[in-house]
Amino acid sequence: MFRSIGDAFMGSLGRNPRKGQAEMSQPEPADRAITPELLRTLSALSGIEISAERSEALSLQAEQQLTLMRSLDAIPVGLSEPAGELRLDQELGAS
Amino acid sequence: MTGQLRTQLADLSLLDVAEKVAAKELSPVELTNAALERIVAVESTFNAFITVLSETAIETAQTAEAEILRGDYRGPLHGIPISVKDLFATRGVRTSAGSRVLADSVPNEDATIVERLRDAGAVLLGKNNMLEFAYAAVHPDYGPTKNPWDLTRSTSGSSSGSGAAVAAGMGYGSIGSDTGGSIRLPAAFCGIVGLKPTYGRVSRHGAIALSWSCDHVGPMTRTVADNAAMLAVVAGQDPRDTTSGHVPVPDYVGGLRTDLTGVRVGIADAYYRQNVDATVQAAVEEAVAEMQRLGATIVEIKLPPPSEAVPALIGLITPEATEFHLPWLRSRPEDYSSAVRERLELGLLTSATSYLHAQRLRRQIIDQMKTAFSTVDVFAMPTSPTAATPADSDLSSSDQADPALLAAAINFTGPFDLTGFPALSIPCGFTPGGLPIGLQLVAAPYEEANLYAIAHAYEKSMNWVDRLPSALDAHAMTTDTGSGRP
Repeated sequence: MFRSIGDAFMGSLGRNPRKGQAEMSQPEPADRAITPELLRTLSALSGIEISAERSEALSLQAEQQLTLMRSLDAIPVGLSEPAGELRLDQELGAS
Repeated sequence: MTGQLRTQLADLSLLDVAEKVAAKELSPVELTNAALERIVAVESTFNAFITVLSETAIETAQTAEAEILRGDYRGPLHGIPISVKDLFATRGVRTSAGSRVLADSVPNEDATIVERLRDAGAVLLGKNNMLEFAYAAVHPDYGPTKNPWDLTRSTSGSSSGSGAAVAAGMGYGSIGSDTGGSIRLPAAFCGIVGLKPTYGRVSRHGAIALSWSCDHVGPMTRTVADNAAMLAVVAGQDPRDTTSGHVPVPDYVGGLRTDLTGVRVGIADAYYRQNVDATVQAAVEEAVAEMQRLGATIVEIKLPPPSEAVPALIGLITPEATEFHLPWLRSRPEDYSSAVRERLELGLLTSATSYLHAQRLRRQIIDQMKTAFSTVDVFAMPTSPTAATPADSDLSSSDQADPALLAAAINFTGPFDLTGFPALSIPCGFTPGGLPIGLQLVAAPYEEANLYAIAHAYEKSMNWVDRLPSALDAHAMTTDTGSGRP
């Protein structure tokens, strides 16, 4: 039995669940794509102030978020155009 | 496992009591009193409500009673006590979204679903507790909702209060919202029925947004037929919601059936056998076998896996949620819970290119799922890979954002928020420890009637919904089955 649903998801990415979760939640500092300083700069661009202490703590979560986004960017989409506004009522009978 | 069945008035199904109300055998006032008495008896244990509207509920019930007595019966929700998640605007009644940010917010108009419930004569008992802004964490001002089947287990969320209220007999139904699984996961964990309708089927006007392109609104009830009756009231085009679909609302209750002859049920390996707890998998396999015994044909199909659909969904939700909250995030960030504030701040990291990539992937996955529906009528799968998880280690109780854990929690539900296809969670058994297990059925766009018909046939053959949650056993409830005439 899974210890948490998190194990189940990480398993679906084709990795050892426990190892996979550990990889995502505790990246080595040298492997981080985002530093606390960069996080503060990016936030400031949107008018959000984050303290140095807070950005340090948040950078681990940020790495997880970026890992998810990198996995998204790596999925091939062929010739698909953006879905835009979802109007399934206008697609009835069209498939 | 509990052996007690639902026999008290507050625990009966919505349509059972509606039939008695219509026949003038049961008074809406008596019914409302029974629900309010249950709230008094158990709410301090479950924390399923943010606001209880005792006085106005009784007044509405008295009005309904008078209308019914003079022959002005409006339909199956007339005089029936229900609740709504505290995400939906209610005229003159605080709408907090489970957050300190809106702790003093009192809307001056009703959300469309609230308006439609009132027009149908429903009695609003109160506003349900929920995860803050429907974003996967409890705000400490409101506290967690407890699971009626085991107080140490999570209700999941974000419609946590709705799930617990309906399971514990505090009303005959509730309306929740679902952006990654927020109706279906609490339905599964609390042993009730929850529908995420087609995107566009139910108006979102007056619902505080989490993610405009992925938010859905739908009913949570104790039975499939009850769910169909509630959807019939709240569904339909709404000019105040630009994404609302122009599709007629069918007779959902009239379309229910008891056999599955000719029905094709699709199962996909990535949603059926991979990364599912063994007990949950066995229960879902047995449910599918029962559907086969009822006449259905089981078909192996291929679907785009959760490992593609869930990152795409998160690529849409995170920037949309952050954009909506930017003004408050700038001016009063300390009013958010720690985890929701983190989650909103992390949304700044989703690039415009990732967002567009998610939109392209969404189109691709919609097309792939539509193709799958050329060979089957519904997909069947677990609602969640596990039954209710321990509350103290649940995502909603964490004070950190945990992007990976969030993605994991919505592994089987999130893909259908991405595509907008209707998905229904119904009880399909119990773990050896007595926790309910959810079966998810998914249909093609605007095929809710098909979902209900198939789910009703299965539900009637198994009667899982008749069981009373274990945690209710501890309460001495004195409400009788009621037969008083209005």
